[in-house]
Amino acid sequence: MLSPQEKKDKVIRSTDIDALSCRSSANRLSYFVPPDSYTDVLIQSYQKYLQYCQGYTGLSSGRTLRQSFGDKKFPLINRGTYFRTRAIDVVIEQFIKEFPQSQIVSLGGGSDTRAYRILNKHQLVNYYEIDFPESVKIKKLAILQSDEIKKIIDFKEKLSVNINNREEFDLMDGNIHTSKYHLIAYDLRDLKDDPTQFNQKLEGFDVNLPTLVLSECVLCYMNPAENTNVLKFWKDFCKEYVSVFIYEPMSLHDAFGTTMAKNLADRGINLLTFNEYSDLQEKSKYLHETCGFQRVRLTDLSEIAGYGIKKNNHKESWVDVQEIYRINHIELIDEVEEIRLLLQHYCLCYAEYSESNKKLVGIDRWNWLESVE
Amino acid sequence: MLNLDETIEKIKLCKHIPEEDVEELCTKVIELLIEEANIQHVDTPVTICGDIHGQLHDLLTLFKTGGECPTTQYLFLGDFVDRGFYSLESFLLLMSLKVRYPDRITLIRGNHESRQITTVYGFYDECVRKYGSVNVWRYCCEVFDYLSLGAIVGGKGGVFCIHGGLSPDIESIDQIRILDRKQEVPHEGGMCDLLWSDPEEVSGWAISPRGAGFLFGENEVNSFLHTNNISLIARAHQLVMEGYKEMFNQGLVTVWSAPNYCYRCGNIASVLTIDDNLNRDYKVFEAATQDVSSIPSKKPAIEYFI
Repeated sequence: MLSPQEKKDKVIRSTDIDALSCRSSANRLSYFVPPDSYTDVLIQSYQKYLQYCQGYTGLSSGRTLRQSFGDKKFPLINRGTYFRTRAIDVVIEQFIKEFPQSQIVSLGGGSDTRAYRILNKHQLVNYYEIDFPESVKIKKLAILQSDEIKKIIDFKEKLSVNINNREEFDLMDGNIHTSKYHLIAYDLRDLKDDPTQFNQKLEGFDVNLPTLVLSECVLCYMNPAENTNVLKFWKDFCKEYVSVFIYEPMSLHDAFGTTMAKNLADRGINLLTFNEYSDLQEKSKYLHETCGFQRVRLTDLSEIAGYGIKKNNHKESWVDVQEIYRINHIELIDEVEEIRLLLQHYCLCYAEYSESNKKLVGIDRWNWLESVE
Repeated sequence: MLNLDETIEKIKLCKHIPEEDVEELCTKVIELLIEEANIQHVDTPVTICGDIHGQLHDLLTLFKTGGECPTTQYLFLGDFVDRGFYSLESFLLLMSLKVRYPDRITLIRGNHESRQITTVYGFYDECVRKYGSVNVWRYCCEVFDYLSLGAIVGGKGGVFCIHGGLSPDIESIDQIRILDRKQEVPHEGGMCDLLWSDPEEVSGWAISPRGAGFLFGENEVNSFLHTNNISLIARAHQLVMEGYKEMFNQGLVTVWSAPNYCYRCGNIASVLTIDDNLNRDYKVFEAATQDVSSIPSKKPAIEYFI
């Protein structure tokens, strides 16, 4: 019998399948140029191994995957997926441009493929991915199937893994450590008990290197205290210079937000900071005052995608006009107000801390709706 | 032989309608629509309704709010199908009422009454799911091609009703009258714009972020009202959280009739009654039920980024 917490965790893990299916859908329709060639490797890994996972969904693995990958996604989901990916990409690229020798830490990234795209382009980056043990195993099994990814992450071990049942999956070690890539099985909520144990898992980590910590719809599944634990951990751990970059939903305390919380709760998904830090001001205050970050920048996805109300013409647009035109013509959008509403409820928050006055100068290339200096 | 009153009651209960009955209903509707003009003349009083989008339970609330048909005369501005879980039932109900009370209900075409759009936004999948074949979807698409493009309520000085808005290619209503409407909605040109455009605080015409139609401003509206001797443009097409929204010195109104659109947006809905003196009376209503049990089990999840 699963405990209520285990049931909730299952649902949280399964959000990765949802995110992967969105990325795959947008990719198939050529939203991404060049296309993301790694997504299919991850999907194949799920198709092969989800059946051996204890904790993903209540449905059979076949049904889960058919439901997620079989149904067409609405254009607004494809567009939103594109703009989210794109906005995070441009900020990370700026970070690497200013700090070529740096570390990127992706929290709960599941089957996200950004690590491989970045490592393929940037030789000096050291990339850490941290997630639930089961999610990490699915990812490791995907990596082992792909010579291309193995090459990108400098994986040299001659390892052949043969997983044919739940026991073998259970016993498998999901961790990977190479010269530039680390896949780490860890439940970030445990940070409250044993930060030192976690430190030891961060093989090859240099606290003096500029570090960017990324959370895409991950911290939102943790309670406020756990959020603060995680964020403060990184801030205290990398005193020299650390940035956090967070993408997640917010309620805005309006009718759409209320309906969203209810609809997601019906699927067993509880957003634990959705109402706690419900808009950009509250999130800004939280990052600055509660967590102690120095520079904070926030905006929402509708602004990034060009549906925003506020315009600041002096700044570079997040996505250039020609590219927006291309995106807007891949699929007709039937309701602009709806996509604006949906995207307004997702924020991008950048916050940084440095004891040696380092900062990402280029962050102000773009327009932010909220900022703290 | 189709028993209309019985069918109407069955649709309201969301019961399965045999494929032959759907086919017969579609044939009968086409016989009526083929006689209608591109721009239908509608007498007052009439109650104008915006997008429905397959939200059958909310459509039933709409009839409770505005009065049952035929007691109340109705004009629906299109977008009967897609997005909601009961597109087919919603469209069948409207078609049945049209056949049963042809003079008491007018249906005009929305941008979703199109083969291409319904394959993307749900109606096609719903028909295949419910009937195991594309036949029912094909019958309905045939009907779409015969729907009028717009209506004028109350004659001279009255209300011009259209799903989307204006077109840079169309200055006078007479130009719409001569369009060949019996076709799939084109990707560009006058007929496309009428079904796709949106009013916006812009000067002149601007590119629409939807990818079809245009954005048009106050000057375009004023000049269209003046040229065509009308007092108001009533249109739908855009979600309005408050159910309706007047713009441009009350020269244009957006009426939205799908409450909690897509079971997600948290908005209210409205209908607009135009009386014999062309006075406007808005009635708002909320979603029939917030209960997920009314959502069929074989449906796509309500999507967010998670």
